[in-house]
Amino acid sequence: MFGILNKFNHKAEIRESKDEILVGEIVRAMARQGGTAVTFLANNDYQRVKFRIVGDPILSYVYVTLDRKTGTGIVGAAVFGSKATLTVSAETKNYIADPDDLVAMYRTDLANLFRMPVLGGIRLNHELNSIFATTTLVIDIDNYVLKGEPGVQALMAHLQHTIQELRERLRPFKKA
Amino acid sequence: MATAIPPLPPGDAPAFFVRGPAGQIGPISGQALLQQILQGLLPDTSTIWYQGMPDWVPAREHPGFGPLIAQHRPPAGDPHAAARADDDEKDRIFGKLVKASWEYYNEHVAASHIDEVLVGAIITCTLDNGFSLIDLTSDGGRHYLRFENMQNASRIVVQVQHLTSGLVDAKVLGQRASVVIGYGERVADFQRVWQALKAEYKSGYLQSPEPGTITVDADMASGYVYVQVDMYWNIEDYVKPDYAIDYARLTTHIGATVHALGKYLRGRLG
Repeated sequence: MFGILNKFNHKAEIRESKDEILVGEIVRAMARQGGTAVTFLANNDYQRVKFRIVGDPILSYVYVTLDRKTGTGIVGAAVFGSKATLTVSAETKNYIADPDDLVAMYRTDLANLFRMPVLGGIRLNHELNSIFATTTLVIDIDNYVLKGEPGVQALMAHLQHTIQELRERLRPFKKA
Repeated sequence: MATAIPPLPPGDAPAFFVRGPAGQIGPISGQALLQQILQGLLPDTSTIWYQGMPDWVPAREHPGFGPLIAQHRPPAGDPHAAARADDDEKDRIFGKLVKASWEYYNEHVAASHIDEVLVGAIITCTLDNGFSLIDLTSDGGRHYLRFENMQNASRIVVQVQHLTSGLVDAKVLGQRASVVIGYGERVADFQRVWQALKAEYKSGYLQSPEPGTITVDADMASGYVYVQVDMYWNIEDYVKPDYAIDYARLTTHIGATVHALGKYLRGRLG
C-alpha cells in the first residue's frame, strides 16, 4: 500500500540528510530572490536544481548542483566532515537565429569543448543560443544547515554573491 | 482640395497593390515591396496603392515609402548590394521562423515542468513552516519529498506525480497531479506501532485508494507511524502561467491536510 515510504532511503541519522537539508534551504533562498525551481534531479549524494530567473535583464536560468563526493557514511563523515562541492551555473539566452552568428558561435563552441573547469574560477561556455558561466566551490554544509535563520541568511548571501559574479561575467555577451 | 495620403500600413501586413512592367500584383507587404524594389525586381517608378489612398502613386514619390527606398538603397556602383539585400531578407525570414519556434517550444517546456515548479513551491512553504527537507528523490516524473520538524520530530511526506505532462493533455484537462500527503510521528510504544502495521496489512488490499481515503503505515527502523491521503490537485491553482506561485493558498491547503492527518493519527493510536 505505502509505496511512498519505499522510495526513501530511511537514513538513520540526520547527518545523512544534511545535503538534502541544504538543497531545501537553497530552493527557499532562491525563491526569496525570484528564482523559481523548475527542474529537479535528485538521488543519493547528488542533487541538481534548475531555477528560472524571472525579470532579470541578463540571466534566464541558474543551475545549482550539490555533489557530496565524500559520501554520507560514518567513516566518510569522520574523515571529510560535511564537505561538498557546490557548482553554480548561470545561463543567459540570446535566441540566436542569424546564420552568420550561428557560424561564429559554432567556432566558439569547438574552442570551449576542451576547456576544463577550474575550482573557484569561472568558466564560460557557449552553446548556440545560450552562454553559461560556471563556478565550483568546496563548501562545508555545516556552515549553513540547522543554524536557523542565520544559516539561511548566510546561504542567501553566499548565493547572491556567487550569482552576481556570474551575472557580471555574462553581461558583455547579452544581446540587446 | 486634394485628399491626404494615409500613413503606411504595418510593414508585415499584406496591404499593397503594385502596378509594374509585368502588370498588377498584390496584395503584398510593405517589406516585400521594398525588397523587390531594392533587388531591382520592380522599378521604383511602379505605382502603388493601399486602402485609403485616393489614387495610385509612384513608389518613389509616396511621402512615406519614397524615403524608405532612399534610406535602404545601396550606394550606386555596389555590384554586391542586391545579393546582400537578398541575404538579409532571407536571414530575416529565417529568424522569424526560429523566433516563432521558440515561443512554441517554451510553451511545451512550461507545460512539462510545471509539476516541478509545484515541488519547489511545496519545499519553500513547508520550510517556512518550520520543517527541514530530509529526503528528496526525483526522476523527473515522480517526486518524493520528506520533511522533519527538528523541534518536535514530526514528519511530512509528499509524493507528486504529474498526470498531464503533455501540452495537449494539459490544454484539454488542465494541469493535474496526483498528490499524496502523509504525516508521521515517532511512537515509542512498540505495541502501538504493531497496531498500525496491522492496519497497514488491511489497507494493502487498497490497490488504488480513492481520494480522501486515509491509510496507515509504519517504518519499523525509525519507529515512525505515518498516515497518508491520496488527492488530485490542479497545479494551476498554485502555479500561474507566468510562474507566479500562490504560496498562501498552498500553505493553507498543506496545513489543513496535515492537521486532518495528525488528528486521525493521534485518534488511531489513542
